[in-house]
Amino acid sequence: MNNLDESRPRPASPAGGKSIALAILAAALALASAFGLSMGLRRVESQTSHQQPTPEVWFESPTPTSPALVAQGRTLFLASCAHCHGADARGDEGPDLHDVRVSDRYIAHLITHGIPHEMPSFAKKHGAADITALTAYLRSLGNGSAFYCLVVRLRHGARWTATRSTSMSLMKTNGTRMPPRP
Amino acid sequence: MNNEMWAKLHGATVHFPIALILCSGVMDASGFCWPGLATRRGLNVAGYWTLMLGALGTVPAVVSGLVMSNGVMLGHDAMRFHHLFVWPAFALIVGLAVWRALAGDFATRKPPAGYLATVGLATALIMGAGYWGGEMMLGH
Repeated sequence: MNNLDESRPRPASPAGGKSIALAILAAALALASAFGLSMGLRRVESQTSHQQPTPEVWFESPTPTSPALVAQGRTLFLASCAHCHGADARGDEGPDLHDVRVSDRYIAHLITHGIPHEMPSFAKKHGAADITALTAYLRSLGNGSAFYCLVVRLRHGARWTATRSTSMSLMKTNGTRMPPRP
Repeated sequence: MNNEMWAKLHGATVHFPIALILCSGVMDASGFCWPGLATRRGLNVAGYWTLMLGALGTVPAVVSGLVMSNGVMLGHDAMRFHHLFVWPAFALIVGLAVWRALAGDFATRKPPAGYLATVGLATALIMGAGYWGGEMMLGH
């Protein structure tokens, strides 16, 4: 029990400034590692889910689009989707929705049925007209690869450019404000 | 593994650091107040090892949580509150473990009051994180 005697002189404590600095460094490193892992996971997620093109995208009839439809789609997006996908659709809890390369039918299927454990179904909230407007808005955010952009431009003609510029101007004027969650 | 499996893994791993850090705080605080030297030594050694194991346990808990949420650092609603408690708690616990590893156990001396206060803060944060984690599971 001699080594437990408190009256003995204590060994030099390493609990000085150096130890505290190392502890702070370790804490910062831990947070940085978590952040790095988060970024990596989100990158992988964006590359492995909706960003993968579905083959039918090349054959399906394009969803009609117009600046008015894009504006309506953005309103619906802010009300229903922005809480998870971000007001700028750049992703938050849900993935980034710019440059989606999936088909319009696949987009409609996701909105209607959702994804188990990831995204709720909006079948009761949004009908076919709303889904058309939402799809038009998503398409206005970009369409992925240069080749796909070329195909869309050829198929939609000037309308695609018009809807895309509508979307950009809506983002500038409306900013990233979201309506309150119902 | 799909997200559901990661969610189960998160649930399986997250309770170890919560319990161990809480135990570490109680052991060290008891050792701080205990008059008998031998008992204090035992409590402080237990506080040391529960902190180390708790800090190690935060790694699988954080990794499984990040993977199950596809890398969300903050999120919304209950998840945001959960994360606002998680990240400071994670940083504090790692920092405390490193400091304590360098400082050694407090076998022959009382732990500094500042250390105990920081462990208390980490414990409060981790309990807050646990509360909002439960809200996410039960409230949605």
